[in-house]
Amino acid sequence: IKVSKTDMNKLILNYLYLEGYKDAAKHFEKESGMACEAGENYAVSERKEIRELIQKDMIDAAIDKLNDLCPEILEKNLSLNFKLQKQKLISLIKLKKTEEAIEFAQNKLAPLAETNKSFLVDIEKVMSLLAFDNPQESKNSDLLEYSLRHSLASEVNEAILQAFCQTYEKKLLLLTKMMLFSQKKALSFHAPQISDVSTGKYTYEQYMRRNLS
Amino acid sequence: LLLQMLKDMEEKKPIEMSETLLLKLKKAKNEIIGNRHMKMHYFTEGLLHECLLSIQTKISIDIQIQSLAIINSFMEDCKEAKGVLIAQKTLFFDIEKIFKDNQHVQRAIDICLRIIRNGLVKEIIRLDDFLQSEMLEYFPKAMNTEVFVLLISDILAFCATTSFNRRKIFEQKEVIINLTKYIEYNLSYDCEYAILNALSKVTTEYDELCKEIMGKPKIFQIFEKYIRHPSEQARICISQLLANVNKFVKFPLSQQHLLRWIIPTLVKTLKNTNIVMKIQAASILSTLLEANKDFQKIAGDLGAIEDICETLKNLCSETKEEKKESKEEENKKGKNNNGRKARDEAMGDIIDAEDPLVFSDHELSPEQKMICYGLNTIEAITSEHDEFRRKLIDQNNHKIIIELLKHPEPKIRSSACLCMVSIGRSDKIVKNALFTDGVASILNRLLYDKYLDVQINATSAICNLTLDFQKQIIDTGDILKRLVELTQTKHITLRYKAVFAIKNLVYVPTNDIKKMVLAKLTYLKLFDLIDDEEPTIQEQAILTLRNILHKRPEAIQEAIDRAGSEAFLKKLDEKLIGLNPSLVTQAIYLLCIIASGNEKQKTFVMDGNIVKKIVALLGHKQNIVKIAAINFLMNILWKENADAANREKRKKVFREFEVEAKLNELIRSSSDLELKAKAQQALTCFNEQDFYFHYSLQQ
Repeated sequence: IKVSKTDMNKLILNYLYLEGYKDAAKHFEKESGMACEAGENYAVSERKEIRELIQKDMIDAAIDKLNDLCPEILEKNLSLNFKLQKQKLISLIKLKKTEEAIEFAQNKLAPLAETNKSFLVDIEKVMSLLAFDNPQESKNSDLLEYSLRHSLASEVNEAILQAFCQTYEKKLLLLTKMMLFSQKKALSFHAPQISDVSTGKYTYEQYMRRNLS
Repeated sequence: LLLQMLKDMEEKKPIEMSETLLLKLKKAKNEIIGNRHMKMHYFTEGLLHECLLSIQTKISIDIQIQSLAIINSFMEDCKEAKGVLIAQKTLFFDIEKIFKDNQHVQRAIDICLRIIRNGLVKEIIRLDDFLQSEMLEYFPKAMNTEVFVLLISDILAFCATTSFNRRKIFEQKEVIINLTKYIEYNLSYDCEYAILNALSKVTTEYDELCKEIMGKPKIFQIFEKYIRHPSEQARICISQLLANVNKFVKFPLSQQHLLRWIIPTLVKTLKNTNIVMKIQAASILSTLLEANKDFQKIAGDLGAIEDICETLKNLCSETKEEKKESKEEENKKGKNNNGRKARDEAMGDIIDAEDPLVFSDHELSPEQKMICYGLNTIEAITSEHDEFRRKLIDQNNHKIIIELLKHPEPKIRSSACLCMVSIGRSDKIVKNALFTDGVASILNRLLYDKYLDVQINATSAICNLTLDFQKQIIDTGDILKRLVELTQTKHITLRYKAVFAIKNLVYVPTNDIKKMVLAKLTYLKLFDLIDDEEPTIQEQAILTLRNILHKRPEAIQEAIDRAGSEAFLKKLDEKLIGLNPSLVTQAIYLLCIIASGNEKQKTFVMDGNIVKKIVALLGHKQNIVKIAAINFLMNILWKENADAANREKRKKVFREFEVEAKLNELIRSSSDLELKAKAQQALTCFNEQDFYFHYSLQQ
């Protein structure tokens, strides 16, 4: 089965632009000689800035930029709004600004839980970090990890694209999902299965078993 | 500090800290967005009020944009702010000014469109203010990004709720034409759906727009995509658009399946608990099924009538519960309901009305709309299909419709009457159930309704029910008296329906019934109706007279005597030269009735002018007129009830006009089989010999 280089490059470019990696996308465009499709690079500078601010834990600045871009995103998406505010609380705890963190949780975060009781559970988890001198020792230390900010940044990025009627579903992700789905269907044919998507490693145990039998 | 800075700005004091002000506004905005608690805090501090004032002052656009964003945020999830916003009468005009003055600033356009959309939906901005403004003129230029197209589509969809509003929108054609252009672009689902939603609301009355849409090459692809969409709302939206377009533009044969496909979607939505969606579905169905037998059958087979009746019963029982509660409350307060009030409550505002009112544009409640559209849909389905009428009666679903004839809302009474018109096309057995459940007396009452449309539709319902049940109709209340009164009304449609109903009353009933009708109607009124200004009423009046005189030679003579022979002939003579072929035909058939009478009556119609005109009408361009003229010839020359000698004289008269040659010509040249057969029969009448006559001649 042949996969053309052009198609591969398009998929990568699509991913980079939709994720908001403007610089990487620009470099890739230059090297591959490809141009992005209409809509992919919509507000890419703003999305890049907001992503960077979230990843750097500068939540207030990120919210400011986001509200400047489109004030209705956080107004209508209460869950996303809560996650950003929760991340701000986590950053206050990391900076050991305990009093400020408690005040913030009481005055700004807890009222958001009026609309959704599950938010309270999340607030409690974050507040449990305060019980430890070193929050890394808490069983909820995963809240401090970079991956959380990264996925939050991706979520905000998607929300921006959706608010401006742009496609936010990356084709690479879509294709991966389709591959996994087809793979599942192909189980009955004992076809080789990719066991690790990130590395591309596959197993052919069942395939071998069938051939041996 | 923020509020003080805003106040300074309003009082036009020099602002040294505009950058700081901007930052503080942004901070406040960031705090209130998505946070009801902070909104309340800032609201009580007066932030909203200051922002409303700041958008009126000519300051930096950045500050205005931030103020608008704050106002927009207060519109969401802040009931307390709503009152303040509504009280600000200039809000829309301030936004309009900012929009117009900053056409080049994308952020300004964005926030203005959002705030207008949200303001209209939440009834903070008055729809009239928007429609009367010049905003629509500016929209085409603003439609340069997908999100702006989406916002503008949402605004238009919200506004296009009444005919008047749609007319105002349509005055700015460019906006609508742009929308039809954009549906062909590869847009996101949200934007595409918003455009289709707007078009589905706006296309209700405009054939030009529907043709424009159908002219787009990709439109059928879009239709296909949405009729199977997982979202029910999307399917309803496209169904509305399809139904609207179908009213004005014939779908190509290869695409007609699209229309059939949406019917199951709509029928399924009738079962939905969401009343807004039910109303949409019922409204679309009633449009789609109108005059389309195929679709009516599909909807009927899918059980649409049963689902609608179930909804109607639930809505009526809810209303009864509410009324019961309010009545109990009134009783507690000791108010005295006299008999008339109780009757009026039961039947709505029905009073004796010589000058009935026309419906106003008053808005119905969602429940009332559902009832109206539901009844219209039942009316459509049962209009051409007897099996569904039977099923309706067998399942006792007619009782709820009869109940709705007494509804306090006149538009519902009117729709229920139209339903009765449809159901009344049934056969006698089915109609009997209606009479058993007291429909006649209720319709009698509705003939006196305060509203013209209700009277008209009630009269139409009586028209259909009357056939086979003349005695029951005459015995019910004062229906006959009222119908006769309505033949004198100034309202043409009502007069027409009344005459129609009376015509049906005298169609093949007993002589007693004919006499009773005549006693009330009188020949004088009937002859006046024959000379009515409206040709359709003249036609019905002639038919009525024809029915009265049918097979009653004594009645024929009475009619001639009452009118006066000359006057009667003159009246008929005038009708024969009319331009309306239908009227001419009926006049000839009236002459046929007279010609089937006794010799005196046959002689009466053999008047020179009449004969000349009848012969001339054998050459009329309409076949129905020719056939009528031939029927006259056959009646006048009919052997069985004619004196042989007079019959021969009549033949001679016709031969002088070369009638036989004309009949032969018709047989030779006409392609109409019925006409040919009639002409042949008439020739046979000419050629038939009377045995006794020839015997006497020979003698």
